Amino acid sequence: MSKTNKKLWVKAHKIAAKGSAEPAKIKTAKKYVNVRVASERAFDTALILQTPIAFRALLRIYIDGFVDGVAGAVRGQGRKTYDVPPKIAEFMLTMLATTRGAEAMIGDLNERFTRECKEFDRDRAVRLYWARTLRSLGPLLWRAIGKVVITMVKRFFGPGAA
Amino acid sequence: MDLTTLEQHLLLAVLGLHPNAYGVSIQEHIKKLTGREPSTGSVYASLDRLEEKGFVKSRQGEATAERGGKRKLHFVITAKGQHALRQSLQAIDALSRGLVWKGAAV
Repeated sequence: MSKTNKKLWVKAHKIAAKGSAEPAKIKTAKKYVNVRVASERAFDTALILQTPIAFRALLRIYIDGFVDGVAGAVRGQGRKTYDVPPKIAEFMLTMLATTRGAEAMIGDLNERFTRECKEFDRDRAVRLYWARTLRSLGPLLWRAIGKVVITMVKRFFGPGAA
Repeated sequence: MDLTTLEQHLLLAVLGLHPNAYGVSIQEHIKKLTGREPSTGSVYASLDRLEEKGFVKSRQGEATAERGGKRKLHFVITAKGQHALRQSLQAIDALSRGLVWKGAAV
């Protein structure tokens, strides 16, 4: 969670707890806080149960989506107008890259997305984000396949193979 | 060790951008100087391969709000990487030395 989102998250939490804003805002903030708490619990349970990494990554993206929602709600913007990159595209990249590589790669795409949202408009930035994601899938897939093949060759034909 | 064109470009960009070589800066640097932008996936896949060969080293950097809280991955070229790059560029230089460019617009 980014620092900005964290601050907005705390703000939403305060609105939900104290009720110092207008009723509609309190209702939205409460909803987000409740869903976020439930999602975090689900994530912790998934971690304890040692579910597959793919499932946990999907859950993480889902939870982060709610943080973005909170940010939008507290700012008084709808979720769609807030600069949230497409989550499905993020998930596709997460599946194919190594953990460190995936984080950096999504961060890079987000950085350009934020810049393009200011420069052009959100719709165009989303289109560019998708285009970059789809262009990236091929090389990442080849790299992933290559890694699997090398591991198998080493296992079956390398030194110490039966 | 043979290097592909993209790997040469990446190593040169990492060397040129030191110490601020990370995904976006590398892509923009290559686009600015060659006119062609490699995809994010191919940059990371190639850098992963180069790191495996010991030609580059990576370290995690800072996370910013505009990156959605995701950390940067900074790259630096190793001595082994510099040696491989130099050899690769020297090979191209040797091959292109003394050529007569007939009919090609310069």
